[in-house]
Order: sequence, then structure tokens, then C-alpha cells
Amino acid sequence: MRIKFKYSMTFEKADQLIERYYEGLTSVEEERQLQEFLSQADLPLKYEPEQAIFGYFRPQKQNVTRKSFLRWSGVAAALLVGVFAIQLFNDSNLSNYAYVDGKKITDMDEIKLHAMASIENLPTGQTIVEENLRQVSSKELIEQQLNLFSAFE
Amino acid sequence: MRSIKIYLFLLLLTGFTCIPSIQAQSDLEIKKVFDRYGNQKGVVMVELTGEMLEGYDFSLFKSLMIKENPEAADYIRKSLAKDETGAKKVKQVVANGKATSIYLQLPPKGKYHRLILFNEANKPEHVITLIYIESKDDSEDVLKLILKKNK
Amino acid sequence: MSQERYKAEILPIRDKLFHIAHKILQGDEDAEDAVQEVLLKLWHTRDSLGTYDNVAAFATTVTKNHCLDKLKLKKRTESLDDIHHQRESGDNPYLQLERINTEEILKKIIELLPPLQQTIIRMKDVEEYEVEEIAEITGTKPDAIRVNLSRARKKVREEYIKWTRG
Repeated sequence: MRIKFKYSMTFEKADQLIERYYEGLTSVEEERQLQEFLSQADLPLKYEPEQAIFGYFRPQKQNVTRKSFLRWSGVAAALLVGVFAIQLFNDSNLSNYAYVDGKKITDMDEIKLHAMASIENLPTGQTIVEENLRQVSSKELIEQQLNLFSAFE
Repeated sequence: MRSIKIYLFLLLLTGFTCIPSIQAQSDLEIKKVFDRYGNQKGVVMVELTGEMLEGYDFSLFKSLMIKENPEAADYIRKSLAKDETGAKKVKQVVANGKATSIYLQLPPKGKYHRLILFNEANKPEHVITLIYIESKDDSEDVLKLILKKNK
Repeated sequence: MSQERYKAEILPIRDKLFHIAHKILQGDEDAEDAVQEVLLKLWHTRDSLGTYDNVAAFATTVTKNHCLDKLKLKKRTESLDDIHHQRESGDNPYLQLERINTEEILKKIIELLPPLQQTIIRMKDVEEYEVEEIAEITGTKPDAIRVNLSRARKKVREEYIKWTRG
């Protein structure tokens, strides 16, 4: 039968892997095989959701692992323009980044954790009121407290 | 197609986010603080543009954490004193004659409300925190959010 | 921070983190999810965690903040349920999305998954971690990770079919 030569694995095998995929039982290697199978054209319609899902994750994988990011000229062109533009505007406020001990970090999760840590360093409104109450010495300070309370109205 | 998309996206970003941000911050003395200390050892500097951060919606978020550098604290206090002159509202905590916490609400630039927060802590270690925020939300609301966080 | 230091310094305080999460979120399941979420967050930022003198204290703070945020988010989740009701009542807010493309739909579906499931599906299907590795990082059993992974994947499929053929 032609089909056997046409597809990278039999439908039986694919169905079995897909079932295991939804149970969370497949290994990374098995999912790669499945991905290869699903990226083929002219598959029966029943594989459409899996094709969409694997097709959605596939380009992100390449971003993360940087295995073959110059695969298609379109992607390459996009990257070139992207890199160029990023360098061009690097000194502006466009980018999200953190510097730790002079070392640049671009991972969004990390940057946000650092940002969070800095907010965490600030005293709370309560602390400020308490601190100020301890040294009610000048009219100015009292005014500041009133300002602070009005902020919470 | 994709390259055009990305290019347009970047253009849009520069047009709407980047330029107003630069303008809003460039007139401030504390910009120099970020430039001066941002890349040093013992310092963590963060810049976020148009990101949600733990529930806060900031157009621009910049922070600086400096460890074990009391001179930096004096330098920042001087800078803040200059920026304070145009401020809408000032709140501060003074200990031993020095301001250890300073919050400045600056007059809005365009549609961006601006806020500077400074804190110097001695315990358990000496840490200076300086935060600059631009937000479309009223800076009073942003301040409220931040100050209330540890209730 | 190396993998070894992560395991030596963060994993031992897991019980403590769980205790904090439990105090804020009350329920066992919510607290467990929160702890796993925090541990995965810390794992992804482990390179810069080495700069904090007291990693345990930082992990504690992150856990506390994360749980407080989760508490706030609970209200938002209720409004998400509203969207689902609207959809079932025939007024489909995603109808426009359908016309955009499958990528947008899947992105949205994944964003609507519970945060822990989101992280796990991303780590497995994008970052190519094995289930056993994720279990090690979160200090849980592989089966626990599999349950969440399976739920996430099935949900994605189910929602995708609903949105594209509904």
C-alpha cells in the first residue's frame, strides 16, 4: 500500500502515541516523532486538532532551543530585521531588561522577579505612618501624614 | 510577511511607547543615577516597558537596587532634591536627619503619571532602592497599590 | 545558581513555602499548586538567584507575593467564568478570534489554563523537559506532574475543537 511509504509512521502507531500524549505519558523523543508525523501534508482530517496544537508549539521550540532557527528564509529575514531594529533602538527605552552586577539579563521571568524584589524593598504605608508617628516633631511631618491618609480614602 | 509584521510592530512600539518615555524621563536628575550606577557590581537594575507586573500596569518601570554603598544614597538624595522642586506631592520619612524614604509624585508628562520612590534600609544589610514609574493610572492609585501590598 | 545549589538550598525549604502558601490560600490543593508555581519560577531564574545572599528569604517573599496575587486573581477567574457562560448562551466573544487564526486561538486557550498547568505544558511541549525533570524541580512525584500535563493537554484539545467547530 502506498500509505505505508507515504507517512513517517503508521496510523496505528500515531493513534497510540497521541493517546499517550494526552495522558502525559509520552517522552520528549516520542513527541518529536509525533511532531514529525503531524507536520506532514494530506493527513486525515481527524488529526486536525493535533496538527494545530503541535504546529503551534513547534516554532516556539525553535526559539527556545535555537536548534535550526535559520530554517526558512522568511524566518531568517524576520530575524535580521528584528536584530537590526533591536540594535538600533537598544539605547532607547524600548527593551525590557535587567542588569545584575553589570551583566545583562533578558529573560522576562527573571526581570520581573528582580522588579518585584525591588518593590518588596519599599516600606509599606503602615510602616511609614508608624515611623512618622514616632517623630511627630514638625508641622510639616503632620501634613505629610495627613496626605498619606488622604491617599487611602 | 512575517518580517513586515515584526518591522511594523517595532515601528509602532518606538512610535507609541519609546519616544514619550524618553522625553518624560530625560528632564529628571535621577536619570543620571540610573546611568551612573546601573551597570556596577552589587547593583540590580531593571527596566520594563508596557508590562504588567504582579498586577500593576506600568507604561515604564525602572528600578535600581544598590547594596552596601552609602555614598550612592547621598548622591541619590541630592538628585531627588532637585527633582523635588517640580513635584506635585512629596512624602518622606526622616531618621537621624536623613530622609530614608522619599516618595515623589511628579507632574504628569502628557498622559503619563510619574512617580519616584526611594528607600534606604540598613538592616539586615545596607540596600538602596530607587524606583521610577510611569503609568496611565493616577500615581496616587499606583502608590496605594504598592504601599498596601504587604497588609 | 547551579542545579545542585537549587536542589540544596531551595528544595529543603519546600515545606516552609507550603506552610506560607497554606496560610494565605487555605486549601491544600491551591497551596500545593502555588508552591509548584513558585518553584518553577525560581528554577527559571536560578541563574540570577546566586546574587541574593539569602535565597531562602527571597523564596519566602516570592511565595508570599505570589499567593497574595493568586488570591486577588480569584475574583478575576469568576469573570472568566462569565465569558464561558456567555459563549454557551450563543453569544460567542471568540467568534472574531476564529476568523483570525489557529495560532491566536491556541495562545488564548493556553493563557486561560491554570498557571501551573500553563507552566508545565510549556516546559514539556516547548522547552522539552521530561516529566521526571519537572517533578524533580518541583519536589513532587512524576505522576502529579503527569496529571496536570494531561489535564492541560486535554483541555487545550477540547477548547480548540469547541472554538473552531462550535
